[in-house]
Amino acid sequence: MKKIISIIICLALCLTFAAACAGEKPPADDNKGNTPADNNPPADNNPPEDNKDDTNTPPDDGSSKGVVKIGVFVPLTGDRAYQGERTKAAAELAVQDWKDTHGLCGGYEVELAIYDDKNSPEEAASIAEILVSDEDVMGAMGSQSSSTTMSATPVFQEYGLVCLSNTSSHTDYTKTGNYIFRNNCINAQEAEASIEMVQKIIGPKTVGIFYSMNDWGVNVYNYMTEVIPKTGMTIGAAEPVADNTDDFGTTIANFRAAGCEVIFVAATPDISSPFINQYRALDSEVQFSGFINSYDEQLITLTGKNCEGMLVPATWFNWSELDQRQYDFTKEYYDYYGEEPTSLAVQAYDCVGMMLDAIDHVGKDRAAIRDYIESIEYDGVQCVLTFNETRDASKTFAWAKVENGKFVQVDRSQYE
Amino acid sequence: MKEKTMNLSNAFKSFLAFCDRWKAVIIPLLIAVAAILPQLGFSTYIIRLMCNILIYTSVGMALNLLVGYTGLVSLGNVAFFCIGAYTSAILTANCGWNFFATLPIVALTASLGGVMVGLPTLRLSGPFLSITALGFAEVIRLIAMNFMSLTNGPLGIRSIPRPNLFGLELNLFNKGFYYALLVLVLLITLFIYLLTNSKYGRALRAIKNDEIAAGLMGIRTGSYKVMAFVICSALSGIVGAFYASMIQYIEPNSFTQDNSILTLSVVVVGGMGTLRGPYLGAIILVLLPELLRGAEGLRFVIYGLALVLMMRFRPQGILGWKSPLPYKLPSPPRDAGKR
Repeated sequence: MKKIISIIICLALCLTFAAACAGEKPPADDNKGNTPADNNPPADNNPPEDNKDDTNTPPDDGSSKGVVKIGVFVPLTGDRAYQGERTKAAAELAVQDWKDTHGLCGGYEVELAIYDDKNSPEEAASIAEILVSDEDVMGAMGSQSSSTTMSATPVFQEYGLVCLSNTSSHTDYTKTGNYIFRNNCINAQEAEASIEMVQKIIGPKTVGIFYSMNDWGVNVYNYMTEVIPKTGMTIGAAEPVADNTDDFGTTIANFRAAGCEVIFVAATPDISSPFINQYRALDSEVQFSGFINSYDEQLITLTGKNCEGMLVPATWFNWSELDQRQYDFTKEYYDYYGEEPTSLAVQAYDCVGMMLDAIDHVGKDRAAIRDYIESIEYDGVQCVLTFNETRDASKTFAWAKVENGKFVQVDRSQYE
Repeated sequence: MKEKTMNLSNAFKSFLAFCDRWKAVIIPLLIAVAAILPQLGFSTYIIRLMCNILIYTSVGMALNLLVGYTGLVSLGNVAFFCIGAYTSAILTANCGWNFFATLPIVALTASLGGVMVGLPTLRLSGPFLSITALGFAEVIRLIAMNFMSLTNGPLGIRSIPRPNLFGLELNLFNKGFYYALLVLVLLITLFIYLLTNSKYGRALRAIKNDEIAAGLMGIRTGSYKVMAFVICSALSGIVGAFYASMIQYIEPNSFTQDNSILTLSVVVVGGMGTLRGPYLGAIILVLLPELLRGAEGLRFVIYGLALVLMMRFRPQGILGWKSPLPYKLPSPPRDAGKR
């Protein structure tokens, strides 16, 4: 009897497999396709054409037509949580400001769908699946590191949902496809800005490079080894550092033996701070130069006087005396989150603002939002944002220096 | 209270006995359910979760051969997983190979890794073997991190192609990837079943129970242990290749110790030394963190607590088997003290 039942079930199983394979149509193109149509997203992700027209006009009675969501996937637990919390705060502030000034967005209530990805590529890819499956999600922002974001971007591209990163600097990030945008500088740009600043302000003969063994650190290092020799400076030593390292004795000895006058520090404040403290304890003459993630009051808190004189290129300047809007935003963010915004937090604020602006103009249509953002000229808090042909936002750099325990802007015209 | 617990325990035992009696029906039925599930209109997120369950079931099944059947507790299984993922990613993304053509090479390179761990650790067991395997996994991760010309170091390998079968791309949207994984997990299960019910499997169980006694009975324990490592590593490598193809972007930090611990937990929670254990272990350990997403910061605290409670009340694993007879040392001969 058991055998008969099992044979019947096996036959039913074979029939199911056959039916399943016959019933499924594969996507027309592979996941590297560059046009939304080619990617063949699920039908339920594409509202009908006529939907575009009525999404722009809110109902006459002022009530909402439903909900639109912006997905945010950042580390909220783990050793990168402090960075994720900043992005989350900036996104919440952007939505709150939008509600205060505009109310609805294209006739819809705005919500954030925030997820903790633990800075794990596997988690980020799973979250991307959640976001693309939710018909109300019209755009996504995240994550903290390029490698985590890049495990999610194939999903966003495959299903046609805009992913706008405020932090990814990996050169290949936007190459995943045309739904992937970046509101951050790429590695080469910030490396170039840091080199120019050091060369013009200090003009050293020998420099050292201290870099994190992650995609960002290695990319910065690769670019610097190409460019620095052309500027007349010499690279005395280059030392990689793994995450969670806290003893830099050998590294510092190598830099000192090579006679490095300036050290380029390509690491986040949690790694660079103990390095700077230990180096300063042995050498009071050496100078440090950072990158845009060094523009972070956490660095000053952790290093105190040891980072005095450190040079930092910044795409944003807090408490700017030149720009009232930047000054006001710094105050607003400080009141909301309790610390000054970093460049990456400001970029997160602008990313959400851009996506809301797109939804407000074209409605609840993922493909139209992509097209709108591609040709956007958005008056962001950081600067006027436009995207080039590789979907990277244009950035300009201010020069900052740590003086008396705070970042002050350096007048570039003195050194031009 | 104690009586209630006993009743519950007896009911569970009866349920397991019923499952054993009707396994010829239940197993095809479960396979049929697994085959029909993706056709019920679930979102790709759910399909991905199901794929994750199948991946961890497969790799748990491979590790179970080592931990559950041979008694070699390895904390470095992620090394083989990593070797497999990188081998397949390099061959498909950089050299343009078909995914399925890479699998024999993947099995070969990963099993070489198995030999590298298995041979020098022949005389090790318990925590010493675990620590050696742990070190080996870290060495492999550091090689992936620093061998820039081959692995692209921390920049990782992106745009890893999905498996392609006669022109049909197997992805999550058309559920082809899920079915490929389902076939893989069934094949691995069948392989382990046949293996453990052969002379080879009985030798592995003998080694687990008492290695010295097994040696005295004429079993060449060394070669059997190395072979267990080789099989485990080859299977883990193949699963790693599927993982890389699903994620489509790998970098060294995708293969940290967390992965090894999760795989070992799959085996332990489900029940070591059983074929059904890794299935239940993977379902619980993949689904629980997802179900707890609403708990935000407390998510992994609850997850950890659930594991601790499970270990307290069912140390042999949920579907694990434990001899109902108390273990007694053989009593010494009566005249032992006189001689």
